Amino acid sequence: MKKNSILISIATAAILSSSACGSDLDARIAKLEQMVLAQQQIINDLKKDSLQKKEMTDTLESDFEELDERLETVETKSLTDKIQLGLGMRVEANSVNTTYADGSNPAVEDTIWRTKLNINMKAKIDENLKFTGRLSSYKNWGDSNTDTSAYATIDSRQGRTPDNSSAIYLERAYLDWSMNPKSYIPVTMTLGRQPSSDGPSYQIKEGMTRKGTYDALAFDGAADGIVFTANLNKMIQSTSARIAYGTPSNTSNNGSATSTVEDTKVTGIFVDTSFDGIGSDNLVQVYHVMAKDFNADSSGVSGANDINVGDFDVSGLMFEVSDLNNFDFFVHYARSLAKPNGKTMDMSTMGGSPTTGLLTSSANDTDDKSGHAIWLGARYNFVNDWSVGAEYNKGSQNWFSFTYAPNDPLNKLSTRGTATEVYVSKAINKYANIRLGYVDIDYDYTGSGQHLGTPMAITSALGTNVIKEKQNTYLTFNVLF
Amino acid sequence: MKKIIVFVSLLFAINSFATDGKTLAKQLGIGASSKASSQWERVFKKTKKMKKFGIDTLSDADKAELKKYLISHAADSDTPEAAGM
Repeated sequence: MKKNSILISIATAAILSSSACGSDLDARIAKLEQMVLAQQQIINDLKKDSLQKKEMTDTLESDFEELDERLETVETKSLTDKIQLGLGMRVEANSVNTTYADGSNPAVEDTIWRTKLNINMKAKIDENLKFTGRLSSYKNWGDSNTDTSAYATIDSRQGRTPDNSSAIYLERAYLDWSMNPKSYIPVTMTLGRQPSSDGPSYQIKEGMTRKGTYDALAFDGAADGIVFTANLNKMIQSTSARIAYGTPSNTSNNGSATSTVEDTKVTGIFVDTSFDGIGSDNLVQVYHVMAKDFNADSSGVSGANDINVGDFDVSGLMFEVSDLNNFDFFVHYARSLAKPNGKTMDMSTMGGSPTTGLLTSSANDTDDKSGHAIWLGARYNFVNDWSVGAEYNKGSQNWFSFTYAPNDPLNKLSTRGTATEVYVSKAINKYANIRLGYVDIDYDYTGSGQHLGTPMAITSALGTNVIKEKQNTYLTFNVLF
Repeated sequence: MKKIIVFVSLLFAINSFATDGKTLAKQLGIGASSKASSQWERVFKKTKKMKKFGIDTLSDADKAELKKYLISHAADSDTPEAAGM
């Protein structure tokens, strides 16, 4: 009986044990099933995700293809737009007051309105060749008569000084050919009608960047020539040297040998350098310019301009800084040296001397005449786009330079005396500004800006023959885009 | 004359405390003319774009100086003109 009881217990335990094992297995199977389902769900999600991504990739590929096509269209347009055009425009009103040597005033001129248009051109022809040009028109309002004055024939003034017509002139057109870009001293040759106007530091008053090669105190006007620029950066940081050659007065362009007068030949050496850390930009320029066989250039006197009156040199140095704690400022100094050759002409019909030569009114005068000038200026730029500035220049008795055609109706930098200018300017946007200014010139000697005749001290005895003072109140609207 | 010398010296002294935009651009190897001014404006609006040029690590004052320089020398800006330049 006891034995049977034991057997029954064992069987029961076995059955119970077997039952427990079955239940655990089921649970595990169920768990596995759940895991498989979860994995399947993940796989399904991944498949779905993959399909979505493929769709996205297909869309992106399609978009890229479309973008590529559009970019190529833009690129083609960019590559075929061979010349890039820009606009420069100035509308100005000048009110000039004149006082003669005897203190009298002529009739007050009405406000003189003028418009200057510059169509600026640029083209990168290749890595080593680029073109720059400027077509310009500068006219007085309401005046379309052809300018028949003597000045109209002066080459350097074309497009630079106001004309009585709306003619378009070629003010600049030059090629820059980088001859040996990988050399230790790369040299660029600049050929054609040069960027010889509006040079430093003219741009400070205008609120622009540098717009010309040469110190505006020494040279300002259109000029044809060849310039070699040696980039000396590898020797001296931010330094270049230039040799320039031009013929501002060419008398035998048609190849005939009828003229007995030599062409004026101008040669110049210029060294530019700048220093890191002084303002956003700065420039030092040192130069020496030599004009050989200077023409009389007295158009209007019959036959009188058919002589060479001598040689002429201008040397100088300048320093300008832009944006130094909102200040721009500059200092220029130049010396001129006239070497008359003794030849003179009769300018008595124009109120001059019968023996007029290079800075002389005496026959056979070959003595050197030296002059000098200084030009200072500063401009402060306020944060609200307003700026104020002042300039001062003073020239001595024999001061003369090549500022035939400045963008200044009074050519104040040629003054043999003192000139001061104050102005206030407001930037309308990054491309345009309005400037209100006042220029006061007090001449000490006659003939400012002219290379013929002895400059005489201005006294009241000269009466109404010469101008003692000039003032100009001006308003300009400038756009450079 | 003495006053002018003192004034100019003072300007130089003040200037020496700030890094100008040109120097910063040179240090970061950024060519201002590689973008138009509106494109440089966009760069300074997004940290990700500034990071690309290493501008994000600059102080606010330096960023302002650099931005001013890059915009004023951008591809569509008023560029200097001189023979051989």
